[in-house]
Amino acid sequence: MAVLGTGSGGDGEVAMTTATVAIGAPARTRHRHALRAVPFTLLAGIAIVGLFALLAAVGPWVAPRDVESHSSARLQAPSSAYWFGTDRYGRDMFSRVVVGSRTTMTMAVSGTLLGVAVGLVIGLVSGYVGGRLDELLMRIMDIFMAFPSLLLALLVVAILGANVVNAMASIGIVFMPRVARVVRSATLGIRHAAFIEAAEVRGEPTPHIIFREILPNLWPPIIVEGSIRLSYAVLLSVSLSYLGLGAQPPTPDWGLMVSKERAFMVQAPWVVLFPAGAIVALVVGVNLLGDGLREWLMAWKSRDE
Amino acid sequence: MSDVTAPPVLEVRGLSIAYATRGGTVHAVRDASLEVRAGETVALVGESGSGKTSLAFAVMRFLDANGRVTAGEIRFHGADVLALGPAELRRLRGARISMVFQDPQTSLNPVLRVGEQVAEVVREHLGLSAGAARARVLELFAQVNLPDSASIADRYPHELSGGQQQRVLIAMAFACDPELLIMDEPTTGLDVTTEARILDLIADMKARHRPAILYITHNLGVVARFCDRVVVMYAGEVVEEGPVARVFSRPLHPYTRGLLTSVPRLDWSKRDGTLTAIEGRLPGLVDPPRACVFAARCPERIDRCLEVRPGPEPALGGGFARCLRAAELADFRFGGRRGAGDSEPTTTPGAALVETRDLRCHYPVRRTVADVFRGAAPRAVRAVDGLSLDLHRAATLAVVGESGCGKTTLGRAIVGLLDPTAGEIRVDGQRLPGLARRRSRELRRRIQVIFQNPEATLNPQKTVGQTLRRPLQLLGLARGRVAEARVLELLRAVHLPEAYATRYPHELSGGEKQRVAIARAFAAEPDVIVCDEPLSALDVSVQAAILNLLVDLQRRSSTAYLFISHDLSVVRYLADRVAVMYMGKLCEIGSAADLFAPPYHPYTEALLSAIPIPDPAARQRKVRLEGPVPSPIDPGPGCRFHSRCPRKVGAICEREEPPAQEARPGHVIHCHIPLAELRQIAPVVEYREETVR
Amino acid sequence: MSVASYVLRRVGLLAVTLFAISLLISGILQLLPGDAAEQVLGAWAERSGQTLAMMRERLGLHRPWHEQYLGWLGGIVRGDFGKSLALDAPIGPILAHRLGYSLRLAVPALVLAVSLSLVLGVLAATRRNRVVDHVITVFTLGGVSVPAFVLGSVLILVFAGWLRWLPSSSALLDGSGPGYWTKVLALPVATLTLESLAYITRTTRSSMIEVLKTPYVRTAILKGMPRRTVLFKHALRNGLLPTVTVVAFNFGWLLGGVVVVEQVFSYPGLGSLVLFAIEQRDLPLLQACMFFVAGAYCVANLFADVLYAVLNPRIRY
Repeated sequence: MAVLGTGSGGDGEVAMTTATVAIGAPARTRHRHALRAVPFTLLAGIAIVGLFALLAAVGPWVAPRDVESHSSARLQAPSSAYWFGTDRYGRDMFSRVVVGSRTTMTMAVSGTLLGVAVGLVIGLVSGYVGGRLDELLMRIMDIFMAFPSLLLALLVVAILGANVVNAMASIGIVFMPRVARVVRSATLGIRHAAFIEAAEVRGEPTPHIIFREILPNLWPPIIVEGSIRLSYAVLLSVSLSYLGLGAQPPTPDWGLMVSKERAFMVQAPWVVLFPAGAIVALVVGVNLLGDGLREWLMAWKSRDE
Repeated sequence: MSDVTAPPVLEVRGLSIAYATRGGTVHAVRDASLEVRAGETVALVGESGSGKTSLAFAVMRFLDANGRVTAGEIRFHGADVLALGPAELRRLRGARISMVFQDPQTSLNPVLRVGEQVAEVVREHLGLSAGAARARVLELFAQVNLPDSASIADRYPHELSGGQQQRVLIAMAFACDPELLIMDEPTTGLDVTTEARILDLIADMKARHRPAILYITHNLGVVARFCDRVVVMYAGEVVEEGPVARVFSRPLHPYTRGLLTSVPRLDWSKRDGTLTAIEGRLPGLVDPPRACVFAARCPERIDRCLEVRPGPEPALGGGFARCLRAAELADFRFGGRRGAGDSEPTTTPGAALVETRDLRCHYPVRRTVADVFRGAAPRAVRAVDGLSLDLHRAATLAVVGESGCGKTTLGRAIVGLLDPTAGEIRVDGQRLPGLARRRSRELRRRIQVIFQNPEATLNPQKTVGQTLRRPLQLLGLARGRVAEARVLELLRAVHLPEAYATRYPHELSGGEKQRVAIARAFAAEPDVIVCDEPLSALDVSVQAAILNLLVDLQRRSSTAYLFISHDLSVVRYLADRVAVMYMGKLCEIGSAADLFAPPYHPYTEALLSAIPIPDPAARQRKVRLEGPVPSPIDPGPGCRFHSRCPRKVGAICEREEPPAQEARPGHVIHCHIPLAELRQIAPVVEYREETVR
Repeated sequence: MSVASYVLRRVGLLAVTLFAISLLISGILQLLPGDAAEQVLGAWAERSGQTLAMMRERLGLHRPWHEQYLGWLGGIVRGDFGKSLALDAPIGPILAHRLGYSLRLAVPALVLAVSLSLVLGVLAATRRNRVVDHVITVFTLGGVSVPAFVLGSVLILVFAGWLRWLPSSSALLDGSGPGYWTKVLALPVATLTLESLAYITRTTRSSMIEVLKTPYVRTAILKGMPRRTVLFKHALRNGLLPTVTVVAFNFGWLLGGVVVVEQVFSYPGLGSLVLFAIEQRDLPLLQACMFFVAGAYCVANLFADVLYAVLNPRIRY
C-alpha cells in the first residue's frame, strides 16, 4: 500500500477478497464439473436474491392489496386477512413489503451496476496504461475514498436532491473508486503476464489489449467484487431511505417503512419487524451469493493446478 | 560411510499417500520404500508430480488437510512416526528431525528478526536461556558463513539476500544437531554461483555434524556432487534405487536413463546430435497405471510392460530398478558419441541481422523526500549499460548471466517492451524505434518473442487456435481458410496434434503450452526470436524435447535466436555464440567452443565451476565467488566484477574500464588481466574419457 | 528512511489530501442547480427576489468562486468554520460540542469491536470448519446483513419497549454520572459495536486462515514450536496486518453508522448535526461538517498506515 496514504485505508477489505479469487477461469469447457461443485451457499444466495428479484419484477401484480390506499383497519396484528398486519393508515403491510422489493432492488442493483461499470473502465485504463494517467486517476479516486461511504452518499443526495434516482447515483459514485482500485490491482496482477506482453510485441492496439486480452480474465474477481458491492448497496439504499434521503413517501420502501412506523413499534411490532426482516433476508441472500461465488470461483482455480 | 548393521535412521516401507480433490482421489505416492542410514545422504530425485515432496512431508507428519497416508509405515530409529502423539511429534520436529525448505524467502517469518527465529528453536528444544541461545545462534551463523553474524541476527528476512536467507534456514535446521535432516530443493531458485556456495556449505555442515540426510531434488547434477545413494521417483513410485556411482554409470531404469541424457553435457552442442528426450506426459494419478508406471513414455517398452507391474530387479553394483527389462537392456551411453564437429566457424560471415550499439537501459530510482531535501542527484539502476552485440541470420546468440545482470532487459528492449535510455538497435542496418507500437508492422513481424513461464504465456480465455490465428490476422499474413490451414501446419511443426486447436491452455501441460508459444512466435515467420529463458520453468525431460524442437525449427526456417539463459549446459548445446553479462556489461563473448575453454574471463570461469554436472566422474575445479553482489544503482567506474573477482589485479580494476582483448577472432574478453596470463588458466571442467561409456 | 521520516511524509500527504477534499467539497457545492442561495431558501427563492439577494450577500456569493473558497479555507486554517445559518451561531464551538458526544459513542464501540473481533476472528480461524467457526460465521454473516437502524430499532423494541430496562431515546440528556451515561449509551454503543464487530471478525478470520497456510507458519510448526507460539508469535502479527487496514476502513463505516445510530436514538452528536444541516439546507454547516468528518477519517487512516508500518518491518524503508 502507499498511494496518498490517507486514502488507502478502504483497500484492505476489498484487496483481500480479490486476492483469493481465480484470475482467468474459462467457463465454456467446464459445465459438467461446475454443476457438481456449486456450493450450497451460492444456491441459497441465488434462491433468496432470485425471489426478491422476482418480487421486484411482478410485485405490484401479485400484491393482494393496493399499497397506497388507506383503510380503517389500522395497526391490525397479522392475521389471515392481513398476513403481515396493517400500518397506522390501515395499509396492508404484506403488500407493501412485497412491492417494496422493487425500490430497494432497483436502487441497489442499478447503483452497483453504475459504480462497477465506471470503476471497471477507470481501473482497467489506470492499471494498464500506468504512468502519469494512473497517478492522476488514482489520486482522484483517493479523494473520493477520503469520505466515509455513507457520508459521501449523503453529500451527493443532499446536493442533487432526495429521490430514488439520485440515491442510485450516489451509490454509484461511492462505489466507483473502490471498484476502480480492485480492478486496477487485478489488472496490475496480469499486466506483465507473458500473454499480454506477447500482444504488445505483436503490436495489438491498446483497446484490444484492455478489452480482449485483459478484461476476459478479470471477470471472476469483478463478479465477486460486484456481489460484495451489491450487499453494501442494499444497506446504503435502505439507510438513505431510512434517513429520508432515498425513496419518498408514500412509496412503499423498506427503509422508509421502518423509519416512519417506528413510533408505533412497541404497540405494533410488525410494522417494523416485517420490512426489517425483508431487508435482512435480502442482504443475507446477497452475502451468501457473494461468499458462494468466491468459493466457487476459487474451486475453479484450484482444479486448474 | 553407512554402517549396515545399525538400524536405519529413517525407514519408509510401502508408503502410499492420497489426496482427496474435487477431481477424485489423487494417489500421489504408491508403495514407496526407502531408508536412510546414519551419516548417509540419500537423494530423492524426481520431476514435478513424482510425489517426492509429499513423501518428505509425510515423514514430518505434515500433509495438507486433504492428504493422508493410506498404507505403509514410517519409522525413525525403529519407532513408528505415524503413531506419535502431538507432544512427541513436537519434540521430534526441529530437534531430531529438521527440514530445510525450497523457498527461503517465504519460509522465514517476515516480521521476526532472523536471529530470534533460530534462537527460539534452541530455547524450545534444548532449554537454553536467552543469553545462551543468542550465543548459540551467533555460533551457528558463523558456521554457515554469514558475515558479521551479530548484525545479521538482528535483521529481518527481507534485509537479507536469497543466499543469506537460505544460510539462516540451514543454521536453523542444524541448530539442535538433528539426527535426520530433510532438505527439500534447498538451492532451487538461487543463482548458480550462490547455489554452488550453498552446496559447499551443506557438504561442510554435513562433515561437521554428520546427520543422516534425505535430499530432495530434481537436479541430478546436485546429486552427483555429494550424495551417497539415489532414489528415483516417477509418478508416485520408486522406479530405481542404488549407490550414486552405480546409478550414474549403469542406470537401469529407462526413466533414469532419460533423466541423465536429457541434460546436455558441457562438451556437447547441437552439431553433435539431438538430445534424448522423454516424450509424452505424466500419467494421471487419479487412476494410475496398474502395470509399469513409465510404460506409456518408455522407449524400451515391450507388450508385457503394459500388463505386468515390474518388481524390484536387483542391480549389479547395488540397489534395484523396477523394470521388466532391467537385465537385458544395453549398456548405458551418455547421450551418444562425443562429437568431433567442434571446429565450427567462429564468426558468421556477412552483415549482422540485429545489432545493438552502446545500448543503455536505465531504470530511474524513485527519490525519497530526504533525497529531495538533500538535493541528491537522481539515480538509476543501470540494467544494461553500454552493450554492443551482433546477431547473425540463422544463428543463435546466447546471453548468459545471473539474475540482475541485464540479460532480460536486453531482450525486452529488442522486442520493444521497453524504450532504451540511449544507444540504438538496428535490424539490417535500419534503426529500430523503441517501443513495439511505434514500429512498423513489418518490423514487428520480423521480431518475435518466447517467454519463460509457460503458465502465463497463453491467454487462459483463448483456445490454442485463436492464439495462433491472431498474429496471422494482425500482421496481415493469412485470413479465413488459409489461416485455419496455417494454424494446423504450425501445430504439426511443433509436434502437437491438430485437435489441440480447440483446446484451452488449462488442458495443456507446461511443455505443451511452451510448444504453442513457440508456434505463435513462428506464426509470424520472423527473422529473429528472442527466447527469454524458455526452458527454465520446465522439467528436464521436457526441456530436452523443446531444445530439440528449437534446433529443428531453426534449421528449417533460418530464424536467428537471441537465447537468454542462466543454464550454461543448455547454452553450450544450443548456441553458436555466447555473451556473458555481469551487471549490465559484457564480460566475454565468443563462439560456444571458445567460451567453454581457456582463456576465460574470471566470471565465466566461476560460472563454469558452479554448474552442477550430473556425472560423478567429471572433474570440476573449484572457483567460488565471495562477497555480495554490489548494488546495480550507479556503480562506480572500473570493472563491475572487481568486488567479487577471485583474480583481481589491483586498484586498476576499481578505477578503469577493462579493455576488450581479442583472444581469437570473434572471442573477446573484457579484463585487465593480460591475455597471456588468462591463457595459462587450466580448464574448469574435464570429462574423463572413461565417462564416455 | 526512519520511522519519523515516514510519519513526516505521511503527514505531508495528509495536508495535500485535506486540501484536495476542501476543494472537492467547495467545488461540489458549486455544481448546485441555481446557486447556494436558491438552495438554502428553497421554494422561498421564487417568491422573494429581495430575500434571495440578501441571502446571496450573506453567503458571500457576490464574490468570485475562488475568493469564496480561499476565504473559507483561510477561515478553517485559523479555526473559524464560519457561521451556521439555521442556528445563527459560529460553527466551530457547535462542532466541538457535538464531537464530544459522538466520541463518547464511537470510541467505546471501536475499542469493544476491535478487541472482541480479534478474539473471535482468531478463534474461528484456528477452529476452522468446526462448530465454533460455524457459529461465528453465521453470527458475523448476520452482523454484516443487518443495517444499523434495524438493529437499533430491534434493540429499542426489546430493551426499552418490552423489558423497559433502558431508555429508548437519548433525547433527554440532562442527567449526569457514570450510571446515567451507561444507560444512555448502552444501546447505541451495542448497535455500533455489533455492526463493526462482524466486519472486523470476518477480515481477521480470513487473513488468519491465509497466514496459517503460509510457508513460514509451516516452518514454525516443523521446527517443533508449541501451538500457542505458532499462533500468537508467528501467525497473529502477520494476520493482523489486513485487520489494521480494515479497522481504519471500518472507522469510516463507523462514522456513517454514527449518523444512522444517532438518528435512531435521537442522540445529539455530529451525525445528527449533519442530518440537521441537510434538512435545514444549512450549507455552511454542511460544508464544515463534511470537511471535519472527512478530515477525521483521513487522520484515522494515517494512524492505521503508521501502525501498519510499525507492525510490518517490510514497509518502513
